[in-house]
Parts: sequence; C-alpha cells; structure tokens
Amino acid sequence: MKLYCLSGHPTLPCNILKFKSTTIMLDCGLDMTSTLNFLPLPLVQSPRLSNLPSWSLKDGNAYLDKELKECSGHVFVDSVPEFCLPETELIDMSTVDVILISNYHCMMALPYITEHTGFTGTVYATEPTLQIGRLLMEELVNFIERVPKAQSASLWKNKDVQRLLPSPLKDAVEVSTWRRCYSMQEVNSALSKIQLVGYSQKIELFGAVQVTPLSSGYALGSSNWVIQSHYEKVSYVSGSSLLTTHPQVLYATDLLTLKTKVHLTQAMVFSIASYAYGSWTMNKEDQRRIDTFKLCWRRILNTPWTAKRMNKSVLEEVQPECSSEAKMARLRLPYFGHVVRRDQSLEKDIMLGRVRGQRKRGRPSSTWIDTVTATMNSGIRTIPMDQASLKNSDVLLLTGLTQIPTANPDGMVGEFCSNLALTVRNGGNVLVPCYPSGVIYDLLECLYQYIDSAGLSNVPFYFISPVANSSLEFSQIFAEWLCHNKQTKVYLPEPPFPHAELIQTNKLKHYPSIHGDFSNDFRQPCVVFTGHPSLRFGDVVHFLELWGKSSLNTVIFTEPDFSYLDALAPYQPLAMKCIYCPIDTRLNFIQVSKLLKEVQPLHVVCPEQYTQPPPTQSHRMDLMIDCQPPAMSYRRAEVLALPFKRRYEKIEIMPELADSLVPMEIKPGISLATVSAVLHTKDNKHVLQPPPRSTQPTSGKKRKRVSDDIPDCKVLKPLLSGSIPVEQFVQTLEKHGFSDIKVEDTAKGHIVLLQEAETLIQIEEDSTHIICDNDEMLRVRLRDLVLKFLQKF
Amino acid sequence: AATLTPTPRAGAGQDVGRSCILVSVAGKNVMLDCGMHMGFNDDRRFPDFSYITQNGRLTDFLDCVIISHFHLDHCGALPYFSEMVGYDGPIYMTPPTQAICPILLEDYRKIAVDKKGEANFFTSQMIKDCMKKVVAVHLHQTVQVDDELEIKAYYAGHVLGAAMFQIKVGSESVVYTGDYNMTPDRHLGAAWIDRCRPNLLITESTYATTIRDSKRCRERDFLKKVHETVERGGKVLIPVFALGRAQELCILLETFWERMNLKAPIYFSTGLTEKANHYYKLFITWTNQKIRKTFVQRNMFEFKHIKAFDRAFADNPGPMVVFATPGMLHAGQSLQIFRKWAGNEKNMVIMPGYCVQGTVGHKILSGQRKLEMEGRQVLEVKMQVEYMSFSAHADAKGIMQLIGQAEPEHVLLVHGEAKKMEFLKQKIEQEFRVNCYMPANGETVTLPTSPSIPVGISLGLLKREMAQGMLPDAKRPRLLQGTLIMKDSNFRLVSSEQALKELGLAEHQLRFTCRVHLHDARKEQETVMRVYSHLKSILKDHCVQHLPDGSVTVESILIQAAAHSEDPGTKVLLVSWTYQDEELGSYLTSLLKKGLPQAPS
Repeated sequence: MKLYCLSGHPTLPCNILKFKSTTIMLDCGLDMTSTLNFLPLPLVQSPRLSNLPSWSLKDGNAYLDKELKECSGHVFVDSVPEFCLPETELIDMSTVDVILISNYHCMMALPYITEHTGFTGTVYATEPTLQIGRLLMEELVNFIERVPKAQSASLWKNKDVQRLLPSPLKDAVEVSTWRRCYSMQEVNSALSKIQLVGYSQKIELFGAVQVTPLSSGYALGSSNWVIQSHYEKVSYVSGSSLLTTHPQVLYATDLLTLKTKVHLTQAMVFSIASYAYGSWTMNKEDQRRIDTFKLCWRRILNTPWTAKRMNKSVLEEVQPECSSEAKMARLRLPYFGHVVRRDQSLEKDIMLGRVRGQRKRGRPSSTWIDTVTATMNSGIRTIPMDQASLKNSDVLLLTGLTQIPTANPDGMVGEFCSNLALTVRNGGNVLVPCYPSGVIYDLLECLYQYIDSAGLSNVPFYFISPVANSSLEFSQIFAEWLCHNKQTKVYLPEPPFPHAELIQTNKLKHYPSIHGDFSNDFRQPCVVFTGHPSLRFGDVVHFLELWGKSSLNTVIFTEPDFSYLDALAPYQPLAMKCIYCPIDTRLNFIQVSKLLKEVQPLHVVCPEQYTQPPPTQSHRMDLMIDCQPPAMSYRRAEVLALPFKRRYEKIEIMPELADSLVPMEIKPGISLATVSAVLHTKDNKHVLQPPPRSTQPTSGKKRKRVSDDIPDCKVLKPLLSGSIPVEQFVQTLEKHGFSDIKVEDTAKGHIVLLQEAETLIQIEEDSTHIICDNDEMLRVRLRDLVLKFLQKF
Repeated sequence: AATLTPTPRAGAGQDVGRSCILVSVAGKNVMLDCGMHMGFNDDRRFPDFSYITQNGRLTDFLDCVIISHFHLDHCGALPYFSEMVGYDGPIYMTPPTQAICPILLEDYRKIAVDKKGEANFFTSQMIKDCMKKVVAVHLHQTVQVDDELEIKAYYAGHVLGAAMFQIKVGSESVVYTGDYNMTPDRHLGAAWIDRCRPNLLITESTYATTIRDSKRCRERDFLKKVHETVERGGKVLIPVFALGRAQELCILLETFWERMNLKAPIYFSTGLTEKANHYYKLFITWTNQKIRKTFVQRNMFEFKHIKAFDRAFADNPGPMVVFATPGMLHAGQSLQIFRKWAGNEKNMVIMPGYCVQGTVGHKILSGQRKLEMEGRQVLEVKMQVEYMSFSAHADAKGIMQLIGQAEPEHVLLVHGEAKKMEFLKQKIEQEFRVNCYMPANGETVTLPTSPSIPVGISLGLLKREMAQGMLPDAKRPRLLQGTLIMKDSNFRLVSSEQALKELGLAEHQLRFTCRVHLHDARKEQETVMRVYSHLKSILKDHCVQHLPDGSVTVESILIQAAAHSEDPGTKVLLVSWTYQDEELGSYLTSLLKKGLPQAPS
C-alpha cells in the first residue's frame, strides 16, 4: 500500500493511494498561489498597470524587459496567469481507477488531469460539489478569457534566469510545469466524468474496495472519504469543520425555531442558574449536578426520556452559543484577575487557598484555584462532531486543516460586520474579494441579521460574478445537504438561506459583470462582493483601481487562500484601508488532537507543514499535530509506503459446504473445523465451494494408464495434534481384536509391540510411528485407531 | 437457514387501496408503507395492526418503518400507527416525503374530522409527534438502522421524493419498489436501480396488463379535450392530488396556454397546491434532468397563467379550468365543484388518476350517471366524464424492465388487481424463470434463503492457493485445505500450521513405515538404483531423488533398502511416510509390492 503525493499544498491536496488492486486519486487541488507572481488582468484599460517600468537583470541584460515589470519594489510577470499543477510525472495517470473529490475547492485541477494525461477512470463527487465546482471553474475561465492577453511569458522560467530573479519569483517551485487556465470545453468534458454520490453511499470498486463519502461539515456537499476492504480501513479527512455554519448536522424540530428557544433558555434560565458562576469551586458532585441540569435541553427538544439519546447528541443539537463550562470559565478568569490584583485581603487568601492551619486527613479537597488552573489548561470549545465512521482506521490521511490556526472564525465574522458598518457610515465603500460560493453565504446571512440594527438598510449590496445568479439559486436547492434548521425551513416551505429575502427586497443585487446593467444601477457608498480573491483577475481588479486611492474605502479579506499582503502588492501604494478577517472554519490543531483522540487511528499521515509549527510562529508548539505514534509526513513528489500489513481477506463459504463442516470445541469458546474445499475467485470475490464428489475410478475403465492412478500429492491432509495415552490405546487395540500386546517403556515414551502382526508402534508425546509389514489392511486399521485419539487441523 | 417472510398486512395484496407490507429478513422485521384505504370511512380504513404481534409492543417487534412516498394510500395510517397504536421506533422516508407528508395528512384529517365530524381519528398534534420519529434518507445513502440492518433508497419517479428501498441484512436483501415509473415525464425522471440481485423484489402492479400508449398521444388528447371544452365555453374540472400529477398537468397546460395564447383562466383549488409548487421549487434536485438544468434561467414551477382559486369563482360565467383536490372526488373542494358543475353538459371532468372503489370518482368512471349523495339527494351527472391515465405507475413493460435491472431471485407482486396480477405473474415466470408470488391480504409468503457465510481467510493461505490454483484444471479441481477457527462470532480460515500455532498446540506426527520384501539377489545399492529408476520412470510428475546415503525419496517419502537378516536373496525395502502423504505412501508400497521390472540389461 503506497501513497503518491502529487501536491505539496496542505489545503489543496492531490494524492494517489494504491490499495489492494486499486489506484485511487484523493482530491485534485490546484495551487493558485502561483498567480500572485503575475500582474493583474484589468477589465478596463488601466494606465497605471500598463505603464509600469520594466525590470531587468543587474547585468543590464534587457531581454526580460517584456516579461517582467516592477511595481513598488516587487517584480511581476506580465503574462497570462498560470497555475501550479499537481505532479503528473510521478505515476502513470492512465492507471488511476477513480478520483474521489472531497469538496469543490479541491477539484480545480480536474480538467488538467482528466483531459491531458490519459486518465480513463471515474470521478466521484457529491451533487453540490459538482455544481458549485462547476461554478468556480466557470468563473475562473470567464475571468481569464474575458481579458485576452497576447503575451505568454516563458523566458523567465529558464532555470538559470530564475535563479537571478528577486524573491519570491526565485523560490517559485516547478515553474516549468505551470500551465495556463483550461477552457470551458475542457471543464465540461472533465465534469461529465463525474458520477454523483450521496453521503454514506457505499461504492464498490472492482469488488476489492469500498469507498464511502461522509459529511465533513465544511462546505455544501463536502465530504471525507472512507476507503475500506473487509479488514483494512483508510480514512481520508480533508477540509472538515466542527463549526457547522451552514452544512449538514442532523437534529429534530418543532414549532419555535430552535435558535429562539436556545436564546430564551439562555436568557431566562441560565442567567439565574449561573449566578456567580465565576466564584464556584467545581468538584465532581457539582459537575454532575450541572451536567444534569444542562440536560434541560432535552425538555426543550421534546426528547422523550425514553428515547435512547446521548447527552452529547443533545448538546450537539442545541449548540448553545457556548457551553456552561465555557461560560463559567469566561466569568472565572476575570474574577481571578480581579482577586489577584487586590492588595492583601482575606478574600484573596481564601480564594487562592492560602489559609493557614492543618488540613484534615485524606485528599485535599479541591479549591477554587484548582478550578482556575484547570480552566487555564483546557480548550474551551466543546461542541463535538460525529466522527463515528472514521473510527478504527488503520491509516488516517489528514489534510485541509485551517490555514489561520490562530483566528477564531466566529470573532472574524463579528469583526467583518463592524468594519463594514463603520466604513459605510463614514461614506466609504466596502470591497469584499471572495469566491462566488461558500463563505459568502455566511457573510450574507450575518449581514441579513445585522443590516437593520446597524442602520445599513439603505446601503446597496452588490454581488458581481459571472455565476452570481446561479450560485445564489443553487444554494437554495441543496436543502438535503444543509444543517437541520436550514432543512426545517424548506419544510415550511421557505428558502433555506435568507439571501432570497435580501434579493426580494432589493437590498442585494447581483450582476454577471461590471459592464451592462451594473453601471446604471451603481450607487455609492456600497458593499461589493466579487472575485477573484487573488486580486489578479476578475471584477475585483477594477474596484481596487477605482477605490484604492481613497482612505474612506475599505477592502476586507475573508478568504484565507492568499496572503493579503502579497495579493495587494501590485496595487501599492494604496490609500484604501485593508482589513484582514480570514474566515476559515476548517479544523484547528486543538480540534484535530481531539478528533484523533476520539477516532484512534493506528497511523496518521499528513503534509509536512502540519508536523512543525508555522515558520512565522516557530515557538508555537501547539500549532502542529501531536499524536502517538508521530504522524508520517509527506511533501510534494514523495512516495510513502504506508505502514500496515494486510493479514486477512474476506471469503464466502457456500451454505452446502458450511453444513458439512464439523466444528469441535478445542478450548472454551473456541471451535475448530477443518475445511477442504474448492476455491473460486471471480471479480476479486472469493468463494469456497464443497469439493466435487470423489468419483471413484471404476475398475477397468481408468486403468489404461498407470499415471492415472498416481494420487495427487497436492491434496493436503490435515495436520494432527494431541497425544495418545498408552493404556487406553492398548485397551482399544484389545477391543479391536489384537492380542499378544507388549508395552515397553523408553526414554521418551512407549513402544507397543503387536507380536502376532510383527508390528511396532512407537508412541511419544508428539509423534507416533507405526512400523509394520506391507499389509495395507492392517495399516489402515491401526491408523484409524490412532486417529481416534488425535485432533485434526 | 434464515427466511424472508413478507406479509401484506391487510392491504396492498391484491388491491390498490392501501399499502402495508411486513417483511422479516434474517430476523429483522421491517414494515413497508403504512397506507390507508380511501374508499372506507370506518375501521377498515386503516390496516389491521393486530396481525403484526399479538402480544408485546410494536416498537420491540419492528426494527423500522419505511415510507416510499407521500400518497395517503402509502402513508395515511402512519400517525394512527405510531401514536394511537403505539410505535416509537424509527420511520424512514426521503426529505421531500418528510416535507409534504404532514401537510397531506393534516389536509386529510381536516376533511375527515372537521367536515365529516369523525371521531377516533388522529389529531394535528399526533401528526407532529409522528413526524418527529422520522429520519430522512437521501438517495443512494446507505442507512445503518442497527449493526446488521441497512437500507438504501433509489429514485422511483412516481411523485416528488418517491423512492424504492433496498433492505439488507448480511447477504440477504429485499427490494421494495413502492410505486414507480419507468418512463420520465415532464417533471420527474425515470426509476432506476442497480444490479443489486436481491433475494426478493416486491413490486407494485397497478398497471399489470396495460402497456400504455405513448405519452405524447395522451398529452395531445388531454390538451385537445380541454381546449375544445374551453372553446365552447365550458368549464373543466380536474380532480387531482395536491402533488404529483397536478404539477405535470400544470406544466403541460401552462406551455399550451402560452403557445396558443389562450385567455381562459386556470385555477388551483386550495392554497395547498400553491404551496406544493414551492416544494417543487426547493426540491428541484428530485425532478428530472431537464428541469434541473434550466432552473437557474427559469423555474418551471413558477406559473404565469395559473392562479389561486377562490370558492366564489366556481359560479363565475365563462370557461375556466380548475385543478381541485382531492383526486378521487371523495370529499373536499373537488366534490363541491363537481356538484355545482355536474348538471351542465358543456362542462367536463377529467379524472387523471386511478379511483378506488366506493369513491364518487370510481362511480362516475364506471358509467353511473345518477349519484346518491348524503341526505338522499340524487345528483344527475350530465357533464362529460373523461378518464386519462396520467398516474405515474410502471406499466407491464416497465415492471419487466425493472426486474431485468435488479435481477432478483424471487418476485412478489402487490398493489394490483388479482386477475391482472395473475397474467403478469405468468409473464414474469416465463421470461425471467424466477418464482413469482402474489399473496392475498393477510397471507404470508415464506422464502427460504441459504446465505453463504462470510469468513476471513488469512492472506498467506489465500495467496498460496491463488498462486497454485492459477492453472485452470477443470478435471481435477484443487482442494484448499485449512482450518476454520470460530471464536465468539469471529470466523477465520487459516492454514493448519497457523491454526496450531495460534492455539499453542504442538503438532503430532504420525508416521508409517512399511516393510516391503523384494526378491533381488543383487547388492543393496543396485537394488536401490533399480527402485530409483523404476519409480522415476513411473512417477514423472513427482520429485524422485537418489540421495548419497543410499536412500531414495519421492517427495517426502523415504525409501531405504536392507538385506533380509535370514534370506540374503531377499531385500527389505523400508518405506516411510507421514500421515500427510498417506495416499502417495500407500500407493508406493503397493507399487513396490508388485515387484520391479526386469532390468533392461
């Protein structure tokens, strides 16, 4: 079992797994950070961009003039943007049987693989992944084809030249394999190879392996994959989230929306119950009581007490803003600070447990300060995710963790809203570079709740993308893939996302591009959502040129895929305010270690980036995967041999054969049966059939050739085990008509002499030797008597 | 051996009234559908659940309930069953069914209780409580009900969200089709199932003998009739169920009206149908390919010409087309409008679906022109009555097609009329050579199955066998020899050596040595040489060796020669072999006993 690693990007993976007789490609991510080295493609002729000075080598050689331009100290390639493809030389792509896609961000390299490498297999993805992936590709192709650029630079790629270029061009990897964007035709052809699957659908591959997509909670239709045979299991975790903003988590329903109920309970019940939470000393008994009390949620959900339901699942369903422990911790810590900063006081002494005197026998009772210490050492987020299906994996391949491990997505959304409101109130415009699907749904939903209270109801929101309309429409029809309270809306029936209402009330307008209707409707100040987040192509280029010079305006980065400083480099100097609110709901390292503790894989494999702290924060030892045994790491173009050995394979025993088996109990609870059967193998499925009835050769017919008679020595006889008690054996012999039996003792055992038959039987602990004259009848009789005492295997 | 026992529970059997089937697969009990009979207004309406278990709770007996689609003859008795009879286990259905089912139930409840004043009927709260027990199943998702029982849904194309279900326990499986349609229509796709080779396929057979004429003809016919009536100023009443056919006919009329530029109004009866169209918009992934592709540009379910109906409109003069619920004219608004319009021969009622016995729909379709209504009123029907089969059931061809797709071992026909089913049964048995059953209500069919037993084989043993067994030799199939270790419920097949090792047992060697007397005056070495060349010439396929210590081996059988202690002219050959080589050993002794051939020289 081998893993071929074709991409070094941890969140845009592309790996190939060879497992049993199948070759499975896991994801097909396209590294688009390469485009940051290129100049932006302006929609409207930009005098600034077209008049940038050329950059030439220090030796004065000017042949790179046309290809390289300089802008505020950075060097950019003036060419059609190019992308860094997964490695295609490592393995013959025509041997790949299937490609499994985990989410729509991880399929962008699909046309390169399916169209140009001889790939002939099938691609599996969920329906939202296919549809939204199509939109992303369509947008990308549209953005690039809309601005035709004659020039395609290649001179700078020469290794000798690249060496001399300033960083980051100098350090760019595999530049010779960088490719231009695919065409819509290639996209359509690639997507036609996708076969749609649903969560928990079991897909058989050649009868050898079964693959199953599981909800990963990250995006619409995003999935983790379990690849298993009957005795081995590999889990592929890619882009998972425990923070389910809109994707699917399952729970039950009632009249009031759950959210309202949770708010009500929190306001009216917990506020009283949690009075002075911060000063409580938690011991086991208290904890138990609080845990019991928390389960008043059950009441709220109308879960009958008879229903077998885990407390955990109840909490998962309710998802209170934070658990009572978290709230307690939140209150406890300020109180701690409050107490500690005091001058000497009795209260401080008591709270910190510094009371003099002897304590009573036994374990010291836990004190408040112990509770504080415990809080400091534990993570606060406690909402669990259902990971049951990933359990007991032999190997867990872990990719697509959060790119911003230090930021809390919830906080970022809040920051996003407040910055947006601030700018608009001051008369500025807000630009949000984003993908046409995904986080934008969450942002719109937040704004929907926020607009009126923030007094933004008159500010127009524009969503500009060639696929804006489709994206908004599609998001409404994937109800089955949404979390439960969104699903419940569909049952009413109402559109699951509130942006339908924003569109109806004309607060949100969408346009395919800045040309056309948009220019007539355009009013400022406004908020514009548009792509591409790399700021190298798409309508966003125009808005940056338009608004960049005024400090009233703000650009808010929410997509974590590109470094915002690098993205902004060709627009410098920039007067516009820049806010960085990356929203990445994928797993962080704390969640990963919890996940690993829960699912207990034998081995973990991950990109090398996850096995060491990020280079910018090398002291943060918590920002890496910590597990036992240590995770195996991979990097681009590496081949890993995965450390597990297959021991068993499934085989079916036909009922007729099963009926003929005679099990015998060897030890309590363990039975054995010898099997002798015919093996049939078809389509990687093995079946044992009963042996054909032995057709005794009727005499005369088959005597023509001597060799017919020679027994097939390949017929294996069972092994024997056990030992023969001499006295009983002799008795048995006598019973069967042997007389004149003499027994002699030897060093190791006994010798039984049958004098009449001139036969000698040596019996030892683990062997029996029958020495007789050539009398087949006698030999067989003796054999059968011996076998009576032995067990066959 | 385990058995499959499907029992149609007081329904389904040979009748299109209500569906309710109980299946036991390898000890797991699953109830398929829970329908009510629309023709009855008394206790006979609901299936007789006392059949299921005489004593003990239903929840303990049944592992799960599966609802195939939202038609009341498939889900109508669900609240009665779960809340009034008492069942707390899981109920599985697809998301569209889950969304629409409670609305239809509530609608029906209102008619039954509020209008007719029936007692002993489920309440609104019961419908809600019942729906809380529902778990949504997505297409092709494999739902693990418990450790052994799993179910999987396939697209059935009968109405929005209709599904066929595969129920699987170990290696035994049953497929229940519910109602399905093998030809894609204007808004739904065709049913599809993979080659899952179930032990039993339970299929509906509503149109067991019909092979319906082409869809297009029927559509043209329908439009022509509606058009003619509207042209001559008549009113058209189309009794429909809120969801399903209504949407298809709406699309049909909508496009026709647009093309012909007609002005006559088209109405939906209640808000229900309007709401229903919303469901179609939101569950567009369950419709057919074409609608899904174009929905971004234009949602087919946003109708321009079709408006909501108000009761007052029924008395308006001039032509109109009205879709009214329910579809069998047994109650509610469609019946009201029917009574108003029945007297005028210019008007027309088009029945687009099947009507069960006892309903007004069934009466007028069977030609009755004088109807007795409540209060001994007699209603004379002068309006034209047309029947058009638009209900999306598979016809005989479709049923055969599905059987071909799934390749079941046995077929069981339900939800049809006995005579027609008999015909279909013969046809199926002829064509596919599978057993076909058609149980009556309350009858139990038991099918013995003999499942093979899955065990784990050690890879070493398997690879060894595969390597040797690669040469296909039909005459003498290789025998695999191994030991099956059964520990708790864990079955493993390993090689005998490994089994001994694992159990910590020592091998017991059983060895035989036979003395064979040969008359040969020559020296021992020469005797041995003769034996060697003799064996070599006969045993061509075996490894015969002459060892330097003066012995001969055939495979692992050792042959040594010694002079007889008394008679120097006789040599004694000692042939020694282990129990495992017994066959060859005894063959050799008998061979040697015959003596050696005379030496050539």
